[in-house]
Amino acid sequence: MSNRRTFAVLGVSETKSIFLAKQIAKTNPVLLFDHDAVVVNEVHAQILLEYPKANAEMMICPTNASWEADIIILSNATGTDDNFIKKIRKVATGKIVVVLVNEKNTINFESTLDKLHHLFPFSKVVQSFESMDEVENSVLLKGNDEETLKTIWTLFTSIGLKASIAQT
Amino acid sequence: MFQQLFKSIQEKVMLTQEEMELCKTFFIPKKLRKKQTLLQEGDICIYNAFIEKGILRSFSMDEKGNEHIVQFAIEGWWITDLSSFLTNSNSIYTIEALEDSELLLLTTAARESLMDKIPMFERYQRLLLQNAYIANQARINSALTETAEEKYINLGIAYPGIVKRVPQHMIASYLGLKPETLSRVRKQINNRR
Repeated sequence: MSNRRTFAVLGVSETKSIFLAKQIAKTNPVLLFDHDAVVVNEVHAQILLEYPKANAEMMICPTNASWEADIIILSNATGTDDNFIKKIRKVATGKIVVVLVNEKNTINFESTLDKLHHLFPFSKVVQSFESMDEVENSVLLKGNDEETLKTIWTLFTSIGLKASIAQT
Repeated sequence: MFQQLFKSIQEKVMLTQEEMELCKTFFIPKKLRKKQTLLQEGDICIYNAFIEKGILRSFSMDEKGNEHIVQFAIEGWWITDLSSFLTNSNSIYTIEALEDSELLLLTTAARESLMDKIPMFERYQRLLLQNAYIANQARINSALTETAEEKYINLGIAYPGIVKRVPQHMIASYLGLKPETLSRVRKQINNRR
């Protein structure tokens, strides 16, 4: 099938998601969403400034962004907000959903992988933790589906992240 | 999101409410924009796509870069490269959206699993394949025996929705005609009216 998979990056206002959006947009279509329209505008402009040929687009609706996407990346509060998740759950069926976990959303982040699976019962969920070992750009991936973990590991590694898969 | 799919299924078999709910969990909802591709020639076709909204075409390309359209698919139809989908081989076709479209995608594994869990879905798939085979035979017969005018008129009778929505040069490609031939045929038909 078409190898140019479309990504939706939702909650695109923290360092890691901006980095991912920028890197992925070099080769694949990326749909950007954040509750803060000013932030999305800034990130979008920043991506195009650095990579004029990047295929990045601002979206006003997370449902449409997720519907169009093959892989959905949730950042900031979007990965923990039940109401937000309800908006995209139906269109995420069968798709990979990557939830970025960082200091900002860890404080109230009680979502275990089980809870995320409950929220996305028919998606392939991967949690991406910012590594605590202070190695720059390193992330730890956790999920139940080995093939999906490998897909995300390959993606993250290809864009310069030092990704590793958590042993279960 | 599943309106056309269940309409298509219920035209052929009956599913219970529980079976319909289960069915929904196997399909990947996907929006495609106009000119976006679902399948690229040379890739393995991993989806059988049902069209909830929009129109798609599948085509091959010859050495000179000419496109040859093998299928159009509108709301309520399925589109895939069946050979690639079932045998995991590289596809010789590209599948592209001609309008912004909403699809429901079924992977090979999901299709098998769905047929295991819902026997009526297997019957539905069998009836679809049967109809597709009949349609293919009719298309081959048309290509071998009909005049250009007959081909165009019969296409319009069988699939008026397609003729109205698709550019004429694509209709010509589907019928195996040169665009100028189709243009002449249409003029002749209009002059007689």
